[in-house]
Amino acid sequence: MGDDKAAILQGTLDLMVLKTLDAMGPMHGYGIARRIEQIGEQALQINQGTIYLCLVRLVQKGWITAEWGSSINNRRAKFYAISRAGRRQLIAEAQDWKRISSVIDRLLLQGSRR
Amino acid sequence: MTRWRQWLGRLWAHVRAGRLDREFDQELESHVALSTDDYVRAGLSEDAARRKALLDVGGATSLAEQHRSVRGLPVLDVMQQDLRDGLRVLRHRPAFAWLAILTVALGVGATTTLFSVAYGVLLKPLPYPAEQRLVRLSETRQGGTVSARPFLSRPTFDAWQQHMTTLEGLAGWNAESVTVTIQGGSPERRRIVTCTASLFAVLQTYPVVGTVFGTDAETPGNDRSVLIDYATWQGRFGGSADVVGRTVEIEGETTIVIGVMSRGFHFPDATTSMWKPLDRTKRLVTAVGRLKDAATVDQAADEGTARSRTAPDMGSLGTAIFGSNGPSRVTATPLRQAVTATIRPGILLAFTAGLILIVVATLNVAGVQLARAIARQKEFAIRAAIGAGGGRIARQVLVENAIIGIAGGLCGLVLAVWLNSLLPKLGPQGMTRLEDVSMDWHVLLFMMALTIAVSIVCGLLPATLAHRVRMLTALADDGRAPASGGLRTRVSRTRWLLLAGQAAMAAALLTGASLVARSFVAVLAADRGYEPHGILTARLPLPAREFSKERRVVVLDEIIARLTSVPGVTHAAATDILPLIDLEFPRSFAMPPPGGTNRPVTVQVMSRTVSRDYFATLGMRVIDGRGFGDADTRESLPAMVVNRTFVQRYLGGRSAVGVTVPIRWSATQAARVIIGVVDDVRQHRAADPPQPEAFACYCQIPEGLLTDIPAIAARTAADPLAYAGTLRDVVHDVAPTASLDSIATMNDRLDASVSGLRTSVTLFAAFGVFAVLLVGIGLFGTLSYNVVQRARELSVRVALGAQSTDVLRVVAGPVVVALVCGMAVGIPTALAAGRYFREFLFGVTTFDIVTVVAVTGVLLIVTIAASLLPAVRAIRSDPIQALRSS
Repeated sequence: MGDDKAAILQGTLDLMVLKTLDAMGPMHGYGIARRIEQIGEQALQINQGTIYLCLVRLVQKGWITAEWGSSINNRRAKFYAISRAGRRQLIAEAQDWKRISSVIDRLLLQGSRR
Repeated sequence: MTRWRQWLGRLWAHVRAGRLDREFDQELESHVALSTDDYVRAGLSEDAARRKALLDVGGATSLAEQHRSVRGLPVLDVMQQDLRDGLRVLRHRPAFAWLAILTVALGVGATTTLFSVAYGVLLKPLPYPAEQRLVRLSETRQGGTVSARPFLSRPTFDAWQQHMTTLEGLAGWNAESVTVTIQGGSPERRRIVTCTASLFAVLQTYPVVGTVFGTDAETPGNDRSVLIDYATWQGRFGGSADVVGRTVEIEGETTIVIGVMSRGFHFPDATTSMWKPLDRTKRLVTAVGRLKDAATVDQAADEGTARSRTAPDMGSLGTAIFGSNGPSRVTATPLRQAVTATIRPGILLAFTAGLILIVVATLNVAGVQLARAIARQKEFAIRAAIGAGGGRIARQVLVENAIIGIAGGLCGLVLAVWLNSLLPKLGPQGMTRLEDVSMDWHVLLFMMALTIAVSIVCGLLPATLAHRVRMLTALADDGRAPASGGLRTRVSRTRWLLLAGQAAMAAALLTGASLVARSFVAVLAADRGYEPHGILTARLPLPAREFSKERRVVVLDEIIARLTSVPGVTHAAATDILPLIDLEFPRSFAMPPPGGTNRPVTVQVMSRTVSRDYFATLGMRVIDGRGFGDADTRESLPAMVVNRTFVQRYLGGRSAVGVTVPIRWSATQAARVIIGVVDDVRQHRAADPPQPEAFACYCQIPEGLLTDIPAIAARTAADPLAYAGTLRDVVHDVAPTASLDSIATMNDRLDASVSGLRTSVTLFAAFGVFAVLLVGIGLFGTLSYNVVQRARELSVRVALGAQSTDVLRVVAGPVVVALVCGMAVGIPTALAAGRYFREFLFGVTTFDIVTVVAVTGVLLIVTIAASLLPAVRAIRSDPIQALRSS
């Protein structure tokens, strides 16, 4: 990318979206994108549009639900909410993530031979 | 689970694509609006905010594209696209599309129908549990020369039934035609079966209502019980549950209904509606056995042979029945095979013709498609140039062909269903197992496989061509260069081969049609030893209960006398066996060789008991001595007439008149004197070898007439059927209680006997004509295409001084050669295959010069007709015009 922002790791966007919806309650796509950008503190490079591809996938898998509603400033928007299956998936994926990241952490903590 | 859900979601999204696209647009729009709001709040101008918001989202079009592919099923999208393109291409050339669909439809329809017949008759199991273990058993004696029907003698049957090691069960039956009266209705003639009680256990089929009879019912006088079929129960007894115990009259005897067979039960075929106990004293039975699990057909035959040799000797009766008293032999045949033996060759022949037809149709469509693919080279190249992969283009071509194949297949299915409903009329009369022919899933499967195969074969050649499209040559080429003319490229060689293949197949079909048609004509025209035109025939049952043997003679003589006095009736006669109606049994006796001292010869002869004027009535030729006359009475010397074959086989061809033969027609007459010789008569088929025959007049037999179902024949001056009413009146006057049965002209009987051959002729002729039409169309298409494609080359040739003949040679030469090569392969192949269907041929040799000439002629005429228009166009091509236009 030739950029100092990290590209989002394949498959982690799902986890981010699920966790965001779990933590914040129902949100529209723009809100989710903004939220992830804020948490990432500009360290993440996110193409806002790709959020929607992720959302379609999650809806089809039955992990989130979608419904049209009104935003605070009275704009019509599609609101997404996490489903019960989505929560189960979130727990599972979060555990996976923790396990893998701890492995990577330990690997990175090894001293260098040079 | 989640995977399935997602897949279904995608499928659903595919269906609602339009709505979801709009919704996604709205969602993006709302996203941009929300984002713009935020930027405005952060202090940007409205325009700048919106621009920045749009930038954040990314390219909307590519996003929508990605969204669609994540959401739906991209494969389906592409397929839909292909389908749309394919349909569009076909719509542009509707004439071509319809012609191709029609071609495939006719091919698939005809072949599917024939498959349904072949499957239903030959392959479908008979409607009995584990029917593959059922075997037909028949007995012959070594030295027996006359053809007999497949029977077991009762002693063999009994001996075997008492000790069965290879069989689980053994049953015997006979088919009979009887007069039945149901529920006080009018008497009707029905085919019934008399069978041993074991039949139902052997077939493993039992009544749905009531029970079967026991072995005790097989003794005479104890046999007054009957099982009826489902249709009779529903139709004549209203399906009432208390049908058991009701009575029907069979041959005037009150018989109790003891059960009803299930709806699909047929035995031995669908024409039989009642089953009665078999009289144990009958000396012959048709036998069916059920093999034990471990036993084979051959083992059963061996056991049967062994049992029959331990059975009590039938003495002279055995000789009379089997034509010899030699060691007996039992053969076993799987029942389904035995039932369909006579019809199998015809069905296989027809099915082969159907397969040839579908191959012609496929080659035809493939050839046309290939031509179109060549014409579309440029289109393919352009597509490839703007980014379509070779695979994509090839798939496009395949899809186009699949559309034709599937549309053709579906139309073919409709055609097949329609043809199936017409089968009772189209097929030969009284076809075996016709009731088992149906459009079931086997047939559907066959039709689908056929359709897919046809689609693939039709599409494969053009698809390969599309796949290998050479972009530069195709685009640089002006599309009218002679590149594909003649036989210079692989594509044009392929097309040449396709045409030659079609010509070969069509020639083969035509050859078959010609051979069968010529046989049919020969069969109709064949000398059968009697004159079938102008004879009215009927059967007159005279049951023993009412008509004693002497009384029958009186009744028949009276009927004959009255008939002869009717104006327009020239002769009338009665007999026990009429050609085309009856199966017969030989009579056998030992005769000292006339004039010699050698060992006596065993004579096997078909005997007929006739009235005086029989030969004149049938139009048989007396070739020596005389026929029966008024001089032959009970008081005169017992006389007999024999046929030509009898004289040749047993009298060494010497003059037979005056020879005394020790044949026992009556218990009181030890011999008869030959008074005349008649020419041989073909009893059933024109191709049957003649059998030795002997005739006696019932007027000279003291006992009277033995048969209880004599036949009456009347020769009339005008249309015989016009005398049917007269015949009925006469019979009613003379014997009011007797009723005539199966009134028909001899010509009609002859017609019915050749209906199988007629079906073959019709089928072959129709297929042959269709194939020839296809060849004509293919030829016309190829030539027209050649002329258009090579217009410039031809112009140059003409400009350089080529004559019309040269132009013709260039345009039509290779194509005509293809046709001739096709014929040169097709006709000899069909003639050589003729020996596999020799039983359909009569009066023609398998190398029939008339057929060769006729087929060649027809194909040449078609060739000329199809090439006329393109040839004229080629000759008239104006060099200036053609050169200027390109």
